[in-house]
Amino acid sequence: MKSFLHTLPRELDRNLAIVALALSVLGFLTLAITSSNTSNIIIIGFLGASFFVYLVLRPTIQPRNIQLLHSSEASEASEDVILAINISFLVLLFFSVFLIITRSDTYTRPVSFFVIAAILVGIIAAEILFSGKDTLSDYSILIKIILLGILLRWVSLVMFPSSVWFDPWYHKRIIETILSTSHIPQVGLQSYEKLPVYHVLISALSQFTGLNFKGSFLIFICPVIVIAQALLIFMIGNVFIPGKKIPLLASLLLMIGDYNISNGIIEFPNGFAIIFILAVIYINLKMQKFASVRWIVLAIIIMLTIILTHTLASMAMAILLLFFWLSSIIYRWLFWESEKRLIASLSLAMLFTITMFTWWMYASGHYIFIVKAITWAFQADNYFTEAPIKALEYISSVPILETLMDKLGFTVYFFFSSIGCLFLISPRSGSRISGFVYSFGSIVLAVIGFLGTVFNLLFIPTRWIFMSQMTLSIPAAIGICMITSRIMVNRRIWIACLVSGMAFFTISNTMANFDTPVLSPKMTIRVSLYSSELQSIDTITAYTKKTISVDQLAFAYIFNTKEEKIQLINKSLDSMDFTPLMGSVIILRKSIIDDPFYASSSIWRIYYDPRILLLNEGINCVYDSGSTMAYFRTKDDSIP
Amino acid sequence: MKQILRKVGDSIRNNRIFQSGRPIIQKMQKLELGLMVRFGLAIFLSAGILSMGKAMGIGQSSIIRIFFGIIFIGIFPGDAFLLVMFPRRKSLDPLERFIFTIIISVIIIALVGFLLNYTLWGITLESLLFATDIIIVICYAIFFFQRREIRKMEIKTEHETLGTRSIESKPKPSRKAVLSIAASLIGLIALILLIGLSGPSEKYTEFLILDDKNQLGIERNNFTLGETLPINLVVINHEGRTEIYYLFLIDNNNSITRIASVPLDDQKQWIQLFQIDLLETGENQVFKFVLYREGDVEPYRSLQIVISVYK
Repeated sequence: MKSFLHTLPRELDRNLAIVALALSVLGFLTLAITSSNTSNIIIIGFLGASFFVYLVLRPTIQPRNIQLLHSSEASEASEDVILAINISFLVLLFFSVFLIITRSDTYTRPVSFFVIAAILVGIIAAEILFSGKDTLSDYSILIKIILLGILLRWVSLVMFPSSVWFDPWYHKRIIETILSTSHIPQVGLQSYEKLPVYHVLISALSQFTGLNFKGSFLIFICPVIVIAQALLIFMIGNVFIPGKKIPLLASLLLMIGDYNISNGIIEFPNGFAIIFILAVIYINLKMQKFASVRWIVLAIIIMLTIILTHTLASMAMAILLLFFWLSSIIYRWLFWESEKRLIASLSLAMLFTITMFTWWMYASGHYIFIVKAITWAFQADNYFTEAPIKALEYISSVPILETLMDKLGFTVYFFFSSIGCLFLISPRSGSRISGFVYSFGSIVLAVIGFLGTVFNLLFIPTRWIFMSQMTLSIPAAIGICMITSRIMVNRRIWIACLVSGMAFFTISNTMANFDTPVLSPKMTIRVSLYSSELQSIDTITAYTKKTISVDQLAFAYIFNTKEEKIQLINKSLDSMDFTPLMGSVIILRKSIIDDPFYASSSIWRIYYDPRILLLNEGINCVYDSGSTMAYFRTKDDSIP
Repeated sequence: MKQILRKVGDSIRNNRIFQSGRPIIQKMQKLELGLMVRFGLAIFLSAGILSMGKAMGIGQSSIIRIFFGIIFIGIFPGDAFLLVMFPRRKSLDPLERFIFTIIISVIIIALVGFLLNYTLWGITLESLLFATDIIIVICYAIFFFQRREIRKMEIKTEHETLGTRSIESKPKPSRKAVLSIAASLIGLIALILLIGLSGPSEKYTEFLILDDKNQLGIERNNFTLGETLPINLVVINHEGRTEIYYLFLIDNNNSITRIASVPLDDQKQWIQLFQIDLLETGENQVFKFVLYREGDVEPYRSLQIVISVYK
């Protein structure tokens, strides 16, 4: 027992990798037998592979494998090389913008854009690896990373006239009410009435600049998110990793993360609150070395803002702080090191958690979600539940190769991350308590996200995966360096190519790109309305007082912008019977006829033409704009 | 001895000793100037934002208004707050100061707005601007009164540093770094182009049927023989150019009637009352309205109504 306790710290990473590998194999087999969701099986498979690869690489891995990038072995490139890299960067950046501006289809990017963007990523990676040690070079690379990040997010925002996804319409309504009444709307508990930071900020932006909701997001919020993420991840990496190359690479990887891109273009508070979380993580890591009251005050102000911004972000922050403290204690116990300070004190974690729950309990009313989650957790039937039959049928009809291609970027990102996390946990990484604790915190967020996906949990797992993808970018950069540690010739070029290749799959998969079917046409779902669809809905609602029946995306728009009575058409689409909707104006977007779409929180695809069905049922086609049709027949069939 | 002499020589060349030896007053003048510039800019931007906001209102913007608004919201409150929190230049590195300036700025604006929500004024341009300006002025004032202490401490630190480490002249940025920075900044133009020239816009035409009360669709499904069915046909052009449309009616007997040919400018609407005489009895009679654009072979848009006519 004593010898085990002695070897445990030294072999902690190996033991964890073995346990994780065993669990992955078990999870893989269970899902392969019980689940028809191929993507989950692929993710677990890749995770298992990462633990195996770590165990294989581990004996030969030394800290210098990671530090190689900034040691004398990696000599600085000549001025000509840097010149070539910068010219290529500029040419490709302008060319990518040119491709977007001159695209033939209004709402689709040319596939070549994704290729060019991936090459751009490779070029920035090359500059990171070849550049010198001066701070100005780091700053210039950071600017390039930020430009790339903004480009990848702006493209979708510029192409589509409206908001992306369902939620922003709701936030837009709150902001418009603030602008018109000068007060936050009192819509009752569990709303954003008491979590208004994001809405008040955009209202202020609109008043100061005259921009509308989308304009404010595009010009200010989106770039601020990108800048803050890129810089804070770079700064966090700098705290516990020697040299600037890994932090820069981490910053680049974060910009190309598929969930990060997706959440960077959705105008909602969760995506914005993330920058506060990163800031608090940075302050906590920094305070481990240079504690000061001023930093604590700054941390408390930012933490209070998180509570006032978003519930999930607050929850993530609380969990992170508690795990930072807990893993600091574990670190001290395992390594018998008397680190002066912990990463996040228990008092700070408790202060945040108690304040958060107090606010939810007495002000915002969001405690009810916790109650619901706990109640739900005790209902055993909820576990292993799957999506509705229609969604399952469709998902299982997607070829495995297509699913694999679609999930490749995402899984490879987590593949590298898990390798990097295990390395950071090992004492050989040299990152000491900061790396250990950071790694644990990131793993916890990822575990919540993955378990949530597999077990169909209530708390929006995709948001947790998004938050974990952000923190895991540093381990991912380390993982890439570890994987390539055995390459002796042109290692930097190989790394740049690897990052570039991964970037193609992350920026073109269905999470980061909802407009252009590249990797998986069957899974690409457009989650923003066309100009014609918006105009059609506006015209239709202007000329009717009847109830409107629509699909989910149009529902979000009408519900939050109009005063009409509305209902969903999901049931009728499913049952192929539209007679229950008689008397209401049925709006059909052509895209729900031709492509998959979201309904009842799942992916649906219909294999018939409801237009023919509606006409056969004698329902009049009274509106047509090409992308949208409206059908109406009065209920009154009395014969005169 | 040689080494000491060289150190002293370097110090004189770099003017560090002289700089650090300057009277505090001189240093403070520099600091006050900086503070005044900051304060002046904040007031100038506030005045600009207020006047443009008053003139244009919400929903109208110009590049200058956007620029003023973003710089004010993104920089000044955070800068003022951080000056008070971390008054010494070296207590934050440039990257930290930059990013926390932005973060604290948005936090201050949002929290000020949140507090204003509970006042009579509410969240208006004037109240937000006034409250933020007060915070900025208070922070700058605190910093102004702290300045003597801060400079004393900074000079003391400089003396200590000079005493303990060899003096090195600040390294010049390498040509490679300058090149890289230049390329990054030129890259900004690409993004401005993306925003400015967002690409092609969607082209489409709306075609709809309204009843005689200008409501979508038809009021009844069943009619008596000899009645007329009044409908308004509407065409709205969003094609980005003038189009000529041709409208046809295909009745229950598949006979085709040309209703109208309509030249229509972009963003214009055409509406015309059209009456269908119901001269035949029969259930579920189908009337199709088909819209062609000039040059089209296939129907561009089509609508359909189904009615029953009884004796």
